[in-house]
Amino acid sequence: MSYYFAIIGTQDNPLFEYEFGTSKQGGDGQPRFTEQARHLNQFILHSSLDIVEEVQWTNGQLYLKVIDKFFNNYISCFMTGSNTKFLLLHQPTAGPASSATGATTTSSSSSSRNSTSVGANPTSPQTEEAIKNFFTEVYENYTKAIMSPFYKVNMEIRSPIFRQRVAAAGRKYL
Amino acid sequence: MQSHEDAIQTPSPVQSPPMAASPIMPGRTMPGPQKPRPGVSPLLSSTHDPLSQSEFGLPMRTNSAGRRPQSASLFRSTLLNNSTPPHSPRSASPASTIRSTRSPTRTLTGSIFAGTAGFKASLLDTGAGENPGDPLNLILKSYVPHVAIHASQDVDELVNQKGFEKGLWELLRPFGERVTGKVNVRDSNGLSKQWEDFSVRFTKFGDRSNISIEGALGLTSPTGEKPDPQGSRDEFRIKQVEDVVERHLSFAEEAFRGTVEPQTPTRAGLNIEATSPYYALYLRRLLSGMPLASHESFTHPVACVIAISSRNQNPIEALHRLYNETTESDKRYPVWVDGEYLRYYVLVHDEENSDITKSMALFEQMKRNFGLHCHLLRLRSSESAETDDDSIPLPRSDWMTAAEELADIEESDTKEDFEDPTKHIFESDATAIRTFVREMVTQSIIPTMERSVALWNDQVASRRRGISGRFMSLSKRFTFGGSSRSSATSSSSNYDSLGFYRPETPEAIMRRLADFSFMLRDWKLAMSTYDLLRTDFQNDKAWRYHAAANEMTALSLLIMPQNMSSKTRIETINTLLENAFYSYQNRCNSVYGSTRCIILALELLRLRGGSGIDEAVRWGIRLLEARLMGTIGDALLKERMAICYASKTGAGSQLWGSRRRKSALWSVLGAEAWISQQKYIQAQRCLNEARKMYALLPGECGVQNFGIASDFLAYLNAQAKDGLQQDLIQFGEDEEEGHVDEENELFEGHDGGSSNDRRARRASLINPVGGSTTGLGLETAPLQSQGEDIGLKQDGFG
Repeated sequence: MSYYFAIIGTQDNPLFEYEFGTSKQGGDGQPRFTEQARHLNQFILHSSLDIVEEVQWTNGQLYLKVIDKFFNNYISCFMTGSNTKFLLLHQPTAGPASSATGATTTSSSSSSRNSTSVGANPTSPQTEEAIKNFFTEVYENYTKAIMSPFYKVNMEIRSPIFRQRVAAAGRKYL
Repeated sequence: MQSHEDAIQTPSPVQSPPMAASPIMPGRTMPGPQKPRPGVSPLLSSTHDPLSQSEFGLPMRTNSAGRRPQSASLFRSTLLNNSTPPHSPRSASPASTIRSTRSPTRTLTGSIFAGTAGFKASLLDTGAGENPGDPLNLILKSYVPHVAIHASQDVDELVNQKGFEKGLWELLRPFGERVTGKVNVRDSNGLSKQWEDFSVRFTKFGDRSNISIEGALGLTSPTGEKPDPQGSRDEFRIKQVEDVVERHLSFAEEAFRGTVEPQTPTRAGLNIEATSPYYALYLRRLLSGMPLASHESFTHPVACVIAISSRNQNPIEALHRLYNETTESDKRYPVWVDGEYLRYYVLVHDEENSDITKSMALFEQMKRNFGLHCHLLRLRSSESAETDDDSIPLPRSDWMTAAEELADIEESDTKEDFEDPTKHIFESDATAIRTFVREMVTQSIIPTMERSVALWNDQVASRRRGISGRFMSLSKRFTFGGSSRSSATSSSSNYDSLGFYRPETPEAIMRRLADFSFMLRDWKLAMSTYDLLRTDFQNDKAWRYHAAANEMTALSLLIMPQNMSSKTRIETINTLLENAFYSYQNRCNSVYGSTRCIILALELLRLRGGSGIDEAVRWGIRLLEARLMGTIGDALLKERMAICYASKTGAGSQLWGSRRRKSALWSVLGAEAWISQQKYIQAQRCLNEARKMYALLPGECGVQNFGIASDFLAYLNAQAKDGLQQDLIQFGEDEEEGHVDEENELFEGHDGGSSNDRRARRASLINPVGGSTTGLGLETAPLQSQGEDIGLKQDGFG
């Protein structure tokens, strides 16, 4: 299970990007995207904004759950009040993609357990809950980060503290 | 592709003979800037186009003499669309003007915020299928009555004299593709409707190449060929289609080297109305290769033309013999084809060698013997040359199968003295054949089909539809007395142990009823019948039948108007498609079936707009995931998905609900796929589309802010550009190979002169690509002369 998390500003510009892997079930927290998948991830995430723009009007919630699916990539979305979007691309390993990502020893040994884990079924309530917790925690930190007097709208978030906190949230929930 | 269809459609086709090779040329020699862009409105561009068309007609032919114009005509179908945007030059034809006025209504209904209006009308009323090459039009034209042609020896001899080696069938075939004039069809309720674009498909009687393998079981006299497993033959079908498209692409790549000017993103958006010529070709070849199979009766003959000529000594006996051959010879159709199809008797009168009074008498005799389904066809027996005053070129058949086209192309490759395959016939012959086809279709075939539909509907289907019929099928399933269900089904089922339904079983008749009404465009009856059959086939575990019935239910449901809410409708269609796809792919291992089913459904869903578009793409992804198609099909499908998403319009000033980013993503994926196959022109086109889509976004920056993604996009751009330039260089070197050799000799004494010189020439050749204002043609002549010029200059410096 690998994740690609991005905060997208109002002009389709990424404010923050972070790639990580699962830390549950013996995962080492490292992303297992192939070189090819990395640019594709950005394309996919960008294209999901189309769906976000549509789904945001159907739902009063900030957390929109899984909004889009592209082959084996699922995209969850969290809207903030300022029209900034949190998008999380998650790629379950227990699929055809696992062989392509070059399964290492850890991921192959944990693949049997993965079937019951958070990542295996991206639309299950457990996964949704976990992602929601992750988003909520990131949102909290994000709000703090942008309260910096030097921060302007649509500016990239470069704070290392924020990055650490996102990583911690990822480790904690996903 | 368009040229001859329009020609047949216009009331006086003879005055505007379809041009064989000439329409290709404008795109090749016309300087880039002059070329009408697809984005230009039809009104604007049509002001000068019809003229330019004819202006360019003649000189081009001579111009391109260096580059094998003969084989160019083989690739007409895609070249034509390539060089002339579908909107412009032919907007004079009635069909396209209707379409262009109507299309706004269609795009309006596409919005997801606009509710479900899109589903209330039949797709046919929305004008989506009027352009030849449009997928809906292709579907209509491919599910048409098949007419077998069985001609006697003497007819074939006569036709051979005219230059058609494959017999009467070859001569008639193009004429079946558009029946002139309006055709009246009555539906099951007695309402008559007129269709302008009705067509029939002529097939050769006894041609076995098209029989699907499972059908071979049903043959009473196996011809010794060993049936290979279903899957491989099926895959072969797809592969042939891919091969044909690949040939077309390579030809274009070769022919258009250096002419693709880097387009600036000025166009307002992706032209969603225009189908990519290669995609249209792919669809067309896919559909024209529909196998003769037991589980669907589209390819079964609706009628058989039995033809003799006036040269025959014993005409009536010959007719009897031919008739008998259609019922009991080795050549007859497999047992699962209903033998009760219409026989249509034709007397071909040789205008030049036979006596018309005799023929008339014979014809009267035929009428007395065989009833009203007779026709006297008067043809001249001599061959018509291009130079004859009253000769018109016979267009190549649009619906030739992939195998045939492949054979043609290969012939053109291998044979040195390959001739332009366009044949010519006399105008009078063309008129005679046209009249014959029209008469046969309107007076014999359609009435027969209508009668059959009414009869079967009355006797078989309505019985099943009633409450007792439902009960009957129930009681069939659960036999009283509690015997085990499996034995009960096998005993009472009509599904033969051989794996097909015999033609006289109610299931087969109902399938024929449904197919007939589908061909007559009575979607409602077709849909309800397919729907009934679905459950029957499922109970019998006849999976091929099951898959096909599900597929056709979905298709007719998509075409017909209905008042269901779009959500339930989409759900119904999804389950149908799911069933069809699963049965085709997992139970029958039929690559052809699953591919056809999904592609057609995708197209129709796209035309339905709204959430249908999302579903269409979802199905497209399914198809991509299943990896049924080869690389070409893959790339074409990706390109198509971009168009799918682009045809989704949004609401409001921000266009909420449109899918521009998605569309661009698929364009990029398409470009990637094309580049990996060295098809740089297509890749360039995809990249342009992506760029345009990204430019339309509110931020106007697309993925620029995403580092890796924009790097990748830049990389693709560079690749495509390099590829195009590479092509040009190679092309240039090929052309002036001779000169280079000479110069090399010349420069031999100088140190490293030749390599420098060559590099310099490369640069000079590359320039026109970037500039594009020079409008350097790809014709051999200008390039060659340029090369010589450079060579001379270099000589001077040397």
